[in-house]
Amino acid sequence: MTGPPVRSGDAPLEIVFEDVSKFYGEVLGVNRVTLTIRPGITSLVGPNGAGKSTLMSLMTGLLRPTNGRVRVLGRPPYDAELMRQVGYCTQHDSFPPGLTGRRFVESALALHGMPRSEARRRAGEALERVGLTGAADRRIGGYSKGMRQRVRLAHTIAHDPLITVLDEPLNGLDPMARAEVIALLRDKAASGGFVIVSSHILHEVDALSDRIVILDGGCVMADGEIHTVRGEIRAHPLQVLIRCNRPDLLAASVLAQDHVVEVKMHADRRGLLVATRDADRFYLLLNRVALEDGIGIESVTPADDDVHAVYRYLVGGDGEPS
Amino acid sequence: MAVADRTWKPYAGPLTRPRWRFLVLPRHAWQEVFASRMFGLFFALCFFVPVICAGLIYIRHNVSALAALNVVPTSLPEINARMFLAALTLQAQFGFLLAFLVGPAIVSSDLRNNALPLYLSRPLSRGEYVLGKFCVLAILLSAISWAPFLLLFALQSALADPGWIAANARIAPAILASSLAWLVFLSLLTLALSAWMRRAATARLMMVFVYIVLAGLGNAANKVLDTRWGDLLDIVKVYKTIWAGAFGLGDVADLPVAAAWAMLGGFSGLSLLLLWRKVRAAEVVR
Repeated sequence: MTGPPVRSGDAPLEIVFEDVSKFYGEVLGVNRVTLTIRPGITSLVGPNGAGKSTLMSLMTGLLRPTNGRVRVLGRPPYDAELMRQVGYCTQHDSFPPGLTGRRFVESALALHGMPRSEARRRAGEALERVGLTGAADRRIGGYSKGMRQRVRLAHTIAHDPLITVLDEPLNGLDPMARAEVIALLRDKAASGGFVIVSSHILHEVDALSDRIVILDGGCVMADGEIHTVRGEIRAHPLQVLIRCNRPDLLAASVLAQDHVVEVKMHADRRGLLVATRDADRFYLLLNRVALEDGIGIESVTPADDDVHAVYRYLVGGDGEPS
Repeated sequence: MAVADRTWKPYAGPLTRPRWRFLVLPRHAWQEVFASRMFGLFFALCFFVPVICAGLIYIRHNVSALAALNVVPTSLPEINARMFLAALTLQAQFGFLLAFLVGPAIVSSDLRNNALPLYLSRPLSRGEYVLGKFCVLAILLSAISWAPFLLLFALQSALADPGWIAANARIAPAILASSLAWLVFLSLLTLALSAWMRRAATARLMMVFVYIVLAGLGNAANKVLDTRWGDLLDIVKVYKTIWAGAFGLGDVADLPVAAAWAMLGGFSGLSLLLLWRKVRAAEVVR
């Protein structure tokens, strides 16, 4: 018996939630979620109880929706053949007790149907990839938090899944390990896979993701590429920091525009903070004013065009999920 | 064309048979259990009764051994259904101890460590998980119950004259049926307690409770209500009745055999139901 193809040629390469709700008794998990996730890195962001883990459990077949439909590559997520193409790393620091790192990874591969020799080879490779070769034959109980996180990652990627779902994968990792994990996830996405992560470390989400899904109270507040989502938040004009040699002249020119709602002079009088409702028109205006008035511009930086700002505007709080 | 179609390649090598993949769970559990030398010694001790029985059967049919030991065959226990029943009853004590040592940690450790999603997000269903965990205990119990006793029956059949086999033909199915009924119940009960108690030590206490306290309650019910139906709460009496019925030794039974079967079936079904309710990838938060 050999592994069947992951999907037929005409199966859609996407994860689709169609009006999906999940209730745990009377407790709401997610509510009427309609969402399509495509290959690349997608981050789920939201406060505790927002529904991130529920969404992950639904797409990995661990939970079935109360209402609506979930399709992964055109199949139900609990389809056994599909599950062979999914790697899921839970948020819990959870392991069957007493296992060594190598046996933990090998047992997962055996459940995927790999013969013992192949499981041993792949487990070795996965552990090497996460930098745990030296500790592979030690019991997981004696691992540090960062090592446990890395062995879970090895457990998730060892069978080379097309869809990698990771709940808080960067928790407990030191900066070097975080960089390595991010590089690994980028590799997976670059090879054409789906990488779906939830994280509360927003600056890393910002650096990592092609796309974000912001959740709050079980509902999707926004989804899409971060800059696109930011552009659609009309209630909060985009803020742009411009460092230049003549900020007073630039301020006078831009204030005359109807889409510019606020201009603040920087404390060192070498820059401006401009709030605009139309970023595209503002950038065109900036080019024209700089050329016509001979203003030397050092830098132009969007001040709130990141996931922190998007999160703060949509969910509230201080821009950091709890 | 999607990027995935260009570079990502799934594993296309040989796969193990899906039907038997649940055996990964017992295989890893046994590696863990037998890593303890103490358990290894205890498991070896579990073969004490079958080994003594094998010796008895051998000596009974070996004239030179009888002469060397200066023993007359009539002074040795007769090899018949009563002997097999007695040996199996004794062996059940070892079986209970084995389940007491191994069983309570089988599911509780996974639940306590939130490890179920790790299994159930793989190509392994809830049913296969339960079956795999059931096999951890059921196969160990099989190894010390019906398997060695069927070998003893085969040994006796090989050494005895053909008339013995004709007279005792029901012993083999009796060994199988009574052992299976006992080990299915014991495994399911232990797993259910393991799942609900979450801590191995508490599950062990509950095992004792089920065996001893229920028997006490049954006894009290017998006295108060002047009946014998309270014995249906005494699991050991229920076993003994079923086994005596299976071996054709109705005189040993305390209860109607059918009632004992129904009770054991009910206990087993309830245990399975309780186990099934706890084996979920995500817990219901209330």
